[in-house]
Amino acid sequence: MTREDIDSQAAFWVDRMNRPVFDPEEGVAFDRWMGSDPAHREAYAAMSAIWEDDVPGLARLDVSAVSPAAVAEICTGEGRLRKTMIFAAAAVAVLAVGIGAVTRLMPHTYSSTPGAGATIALADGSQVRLGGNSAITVQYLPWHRSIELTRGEAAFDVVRDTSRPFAVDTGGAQVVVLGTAFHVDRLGKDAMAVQVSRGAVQVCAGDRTEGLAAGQAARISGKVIHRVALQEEDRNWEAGWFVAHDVPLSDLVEKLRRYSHRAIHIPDPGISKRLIVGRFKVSEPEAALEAVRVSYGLKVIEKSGGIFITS
Amino acid sequence: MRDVSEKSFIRHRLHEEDSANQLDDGSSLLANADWHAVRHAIVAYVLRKGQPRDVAEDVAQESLYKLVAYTRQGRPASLYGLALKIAGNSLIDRVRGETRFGAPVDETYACEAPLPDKVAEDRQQLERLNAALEGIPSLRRAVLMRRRVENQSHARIAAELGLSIAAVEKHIVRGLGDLRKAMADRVARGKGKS
Repeated sequence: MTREDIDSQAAFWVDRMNRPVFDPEEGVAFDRWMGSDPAHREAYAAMSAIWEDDVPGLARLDVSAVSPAAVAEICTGEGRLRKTMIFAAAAVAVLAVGIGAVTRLMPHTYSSTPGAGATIALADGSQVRLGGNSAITVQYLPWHRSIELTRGEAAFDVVRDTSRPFAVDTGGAQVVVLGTAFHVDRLGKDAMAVQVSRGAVQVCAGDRTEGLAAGQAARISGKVIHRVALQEEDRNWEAGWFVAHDVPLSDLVEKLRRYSHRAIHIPDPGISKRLIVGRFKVSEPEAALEAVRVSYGLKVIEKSGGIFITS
Repeated sequence: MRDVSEKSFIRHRLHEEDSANQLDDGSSLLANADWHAVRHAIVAYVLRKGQPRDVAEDVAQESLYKLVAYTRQGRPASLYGLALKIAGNSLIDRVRGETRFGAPVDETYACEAPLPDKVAEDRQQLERLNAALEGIPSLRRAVLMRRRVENQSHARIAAELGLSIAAVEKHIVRGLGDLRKAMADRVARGKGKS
């Protein structure tokens, strides 16, 4: 029996085993097939990993006409939930959940150093402009294109592919698109900002979702999505300006980290949460820190461990 | 070896069970099942999900305990099917646990760019995948997407596309085979298989 024959049988069983209704006699035949040859088990494992690869339902996403409920389903992972096969009643209780986002077949990681952005051309023609001190992991799989923004910020210009949605994950929140241009900025812990320049996106945080169209922006803190005005400076983020309207000082510092070669710390959480207003030239960290010092009466101390902002 | 202790544990419990209830369908399965093979299926599955070997071993261990417990209550329709579902759920729990206590944002500035040969290899693999997706005849691709992405039933796909259910099945099996070929396998190549 050739490898292709075995793969074909494995595909047959993956199809059978992923139906809502399951014939017990088939279960016996499946067990016999799996038990008879290690190569069968290997082939089935590989085939089901492809089948279970994450984020079904995303491809239904038509961002112009998608209902909030449908997106909520995608974001909470309920869209991933497939009806499992029917087992003995005792077993059913443990089978409530489908298979999640664990496949990692070919992730690439790209990163940049402070002050130095990068432009990345992805294999499908999409383009990523990575900010300074930023990193993304890119993974393309049969059913989706997945990006993880592990730190910093990036602007995405995504080629439309309705069968493979493009999702940017920042840990707490997710931005899902089919094809559009937008900017994602990972700020402090559990905080991020999204700005859309073309097309539309869905932003998901916790079980909340919000659609954003071109010219719109949002700020996500934890599970809360706030719509905010899109600033001209956001549109042109690579110029290195940051406009703060009542955002925590920690957001500004996070922006400064994209450019600063020295670590910046705010030891006092009270100070890091202090709300600030102003327009800061973050690509020149010293000038921006000077502005913070003068405007908010804070001390900016340079030590061997980096720069410390204190009262 | 872990394998042996796992197996002996199951055998040991089994004798008690057998003498207690000779007629229990589940316990006859407990006695006759090839637990080594079930274990192999779980390990292979978890590895294919991109997890490291130690995770695969842990998941297999944990899943076998649960599997034995469920089997003792009654015979599952498919032992392997149940084993892999339990393993899948256990993996989800792990992934959730990891994100909950979460890896913090990496503060180091080290360059993580992959080595050029790795990039070239990944790019080739991606090209193969794209080629496979584009190379799948449009009807077959449509069937595959409807089934997998939209979770439509075989019957509905057959009705809407004017196919027989057998034809729908064939398209899914062949489409998956095409994808499998395209994603040609790092794990197997890593082991030095062809």
